[in-house]
Order: sequence, then C-alpha cells, then structure tokens
Amino acid sequence: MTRGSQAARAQSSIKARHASALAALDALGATKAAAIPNVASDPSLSTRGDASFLRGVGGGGTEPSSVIDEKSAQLDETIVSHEAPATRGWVSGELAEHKQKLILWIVGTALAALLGSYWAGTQTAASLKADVREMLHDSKASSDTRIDDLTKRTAETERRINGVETRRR
Amino acid sequence: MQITEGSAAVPANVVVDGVKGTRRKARFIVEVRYEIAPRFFDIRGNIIATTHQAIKDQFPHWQSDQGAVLFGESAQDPVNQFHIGSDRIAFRIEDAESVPVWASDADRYLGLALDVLGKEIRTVSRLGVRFIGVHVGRRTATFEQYAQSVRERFHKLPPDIDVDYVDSMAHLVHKNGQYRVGPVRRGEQWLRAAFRRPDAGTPGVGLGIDVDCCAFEIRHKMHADVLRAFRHVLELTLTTEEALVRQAGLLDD
Repeated sequence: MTRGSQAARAQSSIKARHASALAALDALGATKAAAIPNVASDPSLSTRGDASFLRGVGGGGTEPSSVIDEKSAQLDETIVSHEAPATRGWVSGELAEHKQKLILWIVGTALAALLGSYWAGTQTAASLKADVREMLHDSKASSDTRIDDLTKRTAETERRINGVETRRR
Repeated sequence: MQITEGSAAVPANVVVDGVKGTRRKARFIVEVRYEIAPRFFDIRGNIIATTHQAIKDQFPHWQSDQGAVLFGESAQDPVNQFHIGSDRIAFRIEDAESVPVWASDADRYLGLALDVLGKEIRTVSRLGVRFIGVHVGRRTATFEQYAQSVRERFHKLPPDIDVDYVDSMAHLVHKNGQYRVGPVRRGEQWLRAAFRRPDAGTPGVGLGIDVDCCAFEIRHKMHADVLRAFRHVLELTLTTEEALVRQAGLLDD
C-alpha cells in the first residue's frame, strides 16, 4: 500500500469515527447547544459574583485547571486536608501582619489629616500635639478591637478545621 | 477486539489514539457541568469521606471551599486534579501514561463523583473533553518550520501585503467546541497558561494543539448515560486532534 493510499484510508477512518460519535451524541439528544442557559446573564444560578465562576458555567470552554487553589487565599471557608498547624501558622502570621498594617494605616491617615490642618493654619502647634496624642490613643483602641475580631475568626477557623479532622478520623 | 483501519464502528469503550507518536506533552481534561446542586453545600464532608478513601493513592490531598472539593497529588498547587463541585465535576491529568489509561481512570472518577452526587444532577448541561498538547514531527525541527506549516495549512493569507510573519495561531469555534493550532516554543506564555508544569517534558519547539469538544443537555437517568456521552465526546476530541496533526503534515514526516 502506498503512503498516499494509507493516508487516504486514515483520513476516511477519522471522518467516519467523527461522524459516528456525532451521530451517537445526536441520538442522546446531546448536541443542542441553544438550550444552555447563559449563566452570566442569570444571577440566580450564581452563588458568587466573581467573573471566573460566571465564565466557567455558561460560555467558557472546558477549564484546564481548577480555580479553587487561586481562590483559597481569599476565602475564609477554605479547609485543607494537610496538617492544620500549617494553616494555623499562616493565620497567626497573617494576624501579626494585619496588626502592624492596621496601626500604620490608622496613624498615617490621621497624621496626614492633622498636619494638613496645621499647615492650612486652622490649628496651632499646641492643639496639634494634643490631637496627635489623643489620636494615638484612639488608634490603639481601634486596632485592638479589630485584632480581637481577627482573633475570634481565627479561633472559629481552627474550630472548624478540628471539626473536619475529627469527622475524617 | 480487533479494530481495523477505516472502520467506523469503533466500540465506545475502545480508545484509538492515532497521534500518540507525535504527542510529547499533554493535559487531558474531562469536565461535566450541571445546574447548581444545592445539596452539595450540605454534603461536602460526605463527599470527602466516601470518595477520598478510594482515590488516596493518586490524590492524597484534598481541599474544600464553598463551591468545590478539590483532590490533588500535592497540598499546594496540585498539577493533577479531581474536582467535585456544586456546578461541575472535572478530572484533569497532565502527562498521563496514555489516552486509554486516562480514559479508563476518567470513567472511574466520573463514576465516583456521580455516585456521591448522582441524585442531585438531573441534566448535564455540558460535558467537555479537552486535550491540550504539544506535537512534534520527525523531520520538522525549527520553530519557523512549524510556523510556516501552520501558515500554509491553516491560514489563507492576503496576497497584497509583503510582511515577514513570525507567529500565528488558528482558532476555530464550531457547534461542538473549538480548537486552536499554532507553532510553539519552550518558555512561551501559551505553555504557561495551558500546563501546570510547562517545562516538564516539553519539547523545545512543536505544534501546540488545543482541542475542546463538548456535548450539551444530557439527561441523567443513569450514570451510564453520562459515561456513554463522555466516550463519544472523547472520540470527537481524539478525531479532531488527529485530523489537525494530519493537516499540519506531522504524520507525513
């Protein structure tokens, strides 16, 4: 058999197999694309508002990989199978980072506002000093409240991880 | 069972991979989508408890969030994934041993997911099988040779402009999916987007082929309906991939 006739036979085989698979799907009634709901325009079918979720169900192609791992870092709900201490470490580290960032942000924002009013001439040096002192006191109280909140959420996450581990055992 | 060349009647459970000799790097995916199954949110623990035991060898790790349980071969950034979610099931393997082995595993994994979710899924809205791969010919050796082959065999170029083409990709969408074909070389963005391990086993240059075929609205009375549809869609994907490799001339080398 020549190379040309081999290629022709192979091509006709592909054609026949492809047509046969399409016919089989037709028989299952599984080739009618028009019936698919457009999820992007139907918010009732969505539980999250992010674009990747919407893209995935209605219009997008077969997803080459899961988006769950990319989202994990943003979701409080993520629970993992590997050892919980790693997760706890992450949460604790995050907490310390939060605390520093919170204090810096609050102090920075308030200082900028006070200095602005000083330079604008609406505040004297003495009253500026008093305001800064008061502001530092308030910002500490405010960040403490936020830290308390984060600590509670951390404890809740740990409680849920432990619950899942117990169920698995 | 003997499969003769040119036979149209290939049984649904037999996988014919005509381009295994050209495929050097690949990611195979099957994905089943359905309208959100609300009970999924209540049974995530049950899914893990009943499924993980059966797949621990291949997927020792799992993670769960609001929308899905994901099983993987590693805890961080798994390459191979078995995903059971509120709106989809997916089985994704990179550099599988062979297409028949992957197909047989996919049957098993889909079966496990349908076992645990089956009653919640009445109609499969979309079932897709996607093969992303890098193919090489015996005599095609440079990026420019692949690029020229794609230009000559997949594009009709305007004759009135005189430009030096350096790259291209053909992307065609059809009623049952879509495909993309283009020359590719190691380090390209396309490889990083397509694969979780873009450098592992990837040839220096080749033909990138991405085939995604799908079926819609499959009534789910029995698992066998979905598994049968999977085999037919797999056949669409395989034949499309082989047709593209032939069209590119890699089997003539």
